[in-house]
Amino acid sequence: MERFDERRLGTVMVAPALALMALVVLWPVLQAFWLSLHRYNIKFPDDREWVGLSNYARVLEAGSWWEALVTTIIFTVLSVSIEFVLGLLMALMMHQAIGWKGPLRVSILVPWATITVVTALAWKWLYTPGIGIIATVLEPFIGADSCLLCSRWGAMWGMVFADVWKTAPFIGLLLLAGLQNISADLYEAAEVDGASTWDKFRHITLPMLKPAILVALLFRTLDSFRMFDLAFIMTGGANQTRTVSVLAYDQLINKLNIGVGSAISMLIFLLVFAIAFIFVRVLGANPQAEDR
Amino acid sequence: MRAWDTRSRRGRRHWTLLPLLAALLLSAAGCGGGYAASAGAGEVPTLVFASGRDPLGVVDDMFQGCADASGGRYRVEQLVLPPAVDAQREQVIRRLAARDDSIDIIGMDVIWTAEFSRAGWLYDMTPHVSGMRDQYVPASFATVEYDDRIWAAPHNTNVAMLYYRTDLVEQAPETWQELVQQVAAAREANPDQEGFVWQAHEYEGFVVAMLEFLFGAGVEVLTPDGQASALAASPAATEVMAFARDLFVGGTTPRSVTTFQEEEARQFFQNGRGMFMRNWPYAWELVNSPGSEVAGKVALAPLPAWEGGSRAGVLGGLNWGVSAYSRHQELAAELALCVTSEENQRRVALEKSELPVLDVIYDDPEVQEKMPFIGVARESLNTARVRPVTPYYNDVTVAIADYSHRVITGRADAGSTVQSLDRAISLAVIGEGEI
Repeated sequence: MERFDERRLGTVMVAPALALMALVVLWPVLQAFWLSLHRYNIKFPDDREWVGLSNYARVLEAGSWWEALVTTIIFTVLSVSIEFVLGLLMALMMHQAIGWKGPLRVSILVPWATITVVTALAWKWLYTPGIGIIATVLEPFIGADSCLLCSRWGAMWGMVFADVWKTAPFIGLLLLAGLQNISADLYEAAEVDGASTWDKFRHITLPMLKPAILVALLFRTLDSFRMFDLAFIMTGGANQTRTVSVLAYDQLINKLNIGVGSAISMLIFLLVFAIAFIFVRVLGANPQAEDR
Repeated sequence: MRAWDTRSRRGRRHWTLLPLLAALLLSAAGCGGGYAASAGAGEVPTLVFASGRDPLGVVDDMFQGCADASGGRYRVEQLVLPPAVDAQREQVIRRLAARDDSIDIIGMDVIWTAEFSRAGWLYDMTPHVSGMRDQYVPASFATVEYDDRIWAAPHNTNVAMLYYRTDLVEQAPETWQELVQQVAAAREANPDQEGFVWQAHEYEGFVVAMLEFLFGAGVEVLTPDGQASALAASPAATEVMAFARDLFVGGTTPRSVTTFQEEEARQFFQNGRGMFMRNWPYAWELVNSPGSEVAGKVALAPLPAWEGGSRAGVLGGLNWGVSAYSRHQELAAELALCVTSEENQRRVALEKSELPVLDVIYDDPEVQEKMPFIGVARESLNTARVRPVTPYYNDVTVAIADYSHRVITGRADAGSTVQSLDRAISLAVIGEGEI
């Protein structure tokens, strides 16, 4: 029975951690759900009333919600796929680089270490005609009024580019860890069998890297889906660039409309949950595998 | 913290972390603690003022000066808020909604008055301030009033003006329509000449600029009782929307201005591009600073009038309100009045280069020398107005920014947008705003 005792001891030992998790994770979610069932503006607490699911109905009937959702999905797909390709290239480069490992890694990580609000502001200025260098460089090609952030797709690409610049290194680093775990024996054996570089990449690197790739994609997809700062700073949500997080901020913080804002937050939570579920259950991502 | 850093070695780290964890949990549980020193009988109360940090330290000095002059009846302490006004509002509201008694005085943007007072978060300052009403610039004083009561002591005011290039413009335009013609004439001679820069990023500053056009054209946003939109009732509203759109369509304003806030406009104009700029007085020293391409080639005029209408400015500025949850309201009100005294109002102008709210300061020769534009500013204040007064101002302003921006970027038609915006505002002011 020693095994059983050990298991019980284990349960007792992790109980405080579980309680803490419940406190900081479960409790806020339940509270947000509870608030989302009320008509509640923080300015007028006395007017608070139970409205059931009608806040959800209002959100789902609003054109702005669907527009923001489409924008968010487009942004997520574009930025994550570009970041993945660039990140993979960076990882391969960092893995190969022998002499310059330190400086190379540092230079790749600098964008990632910069605060997003700061990069958003910097990119906005860089894109601004008459002020920013990017706009100045583009001027001869697009014309004096070369305003990237003035149109829906221009602004979308502007935000995607800023996001890629910032987070491709993050993917690169996660994938580098995966690369370093692949045994050199596999490559040697393949070379003996006469495999080309492409064959090795296709049949050894990619399959062996799959767990790391899925984890990297999972993290980045969730991050991109909740993107707030780039849209908030660069466009203010103009030209149909409002993301679902900007929509939630607008209700919760700006208009102090806690009921509707919480409903939006819950919907975002459900979507994020669904994304994580698909990655973990359907594609087989295992975030803990990295630690083993 | 320093002592902890040096002591922590690998083996001991777990134990030294414990107090830190406990502190984190405590603060997570919402016990801000620490700020308001509890004042029992005989103790000297500490009055806490919440505001953004003044980089020049002048405001801090004013508060400290008042405490020193109080003969030891109170001390002062600042609760530093973030620099961005939106973030300040967010933090203050969180505290007030939780009935936090740790702040006594709040540095309030002029648009917060209706919202805060209607929510019951402010102490009624009417008895303290009403006797001095005549001494203030009337338009600026209107920013502290709501529901026939006075909710704050005004500190500084603000109004936008028209910056123009003296080497490109012979005479400042009298009307907006004349400005368009002046730019068109200049662009005929030189197609690369950029004309009028202002703020048309989708945010509060854009709403202020749109309100200047609308008020000038005689359009009201709200009905007098503030319970519905009055926008569509005025045919001129569609004209104003179309005018704003045509500024971009006709090339009077570069298209990139639809992403400009104050600083982008200022930098653009300062780089020698554009003939006119709508901006606040703060830009004056910067565009005339040594690094500026246009130093010495800039003059200021009041904002032009709407043709067939009038001139209209829209007010900015800061007021000091007293929290309804302060435990020292009388004393805090006294402090707010001390900070806005005539002597301190002179310092607002001379040391902070901001527009004072006491009328007498505008006649001060020293101030006139320091701020050469102050005459134009005072003239602009004569036609300046407060933004629509409603506790749901944020809902209203988001709607105005969203709908108007669609028009100036060519995504919606002026006439139908006025109708939809009118509907959106009418819903917003009763708390049923669109999502």
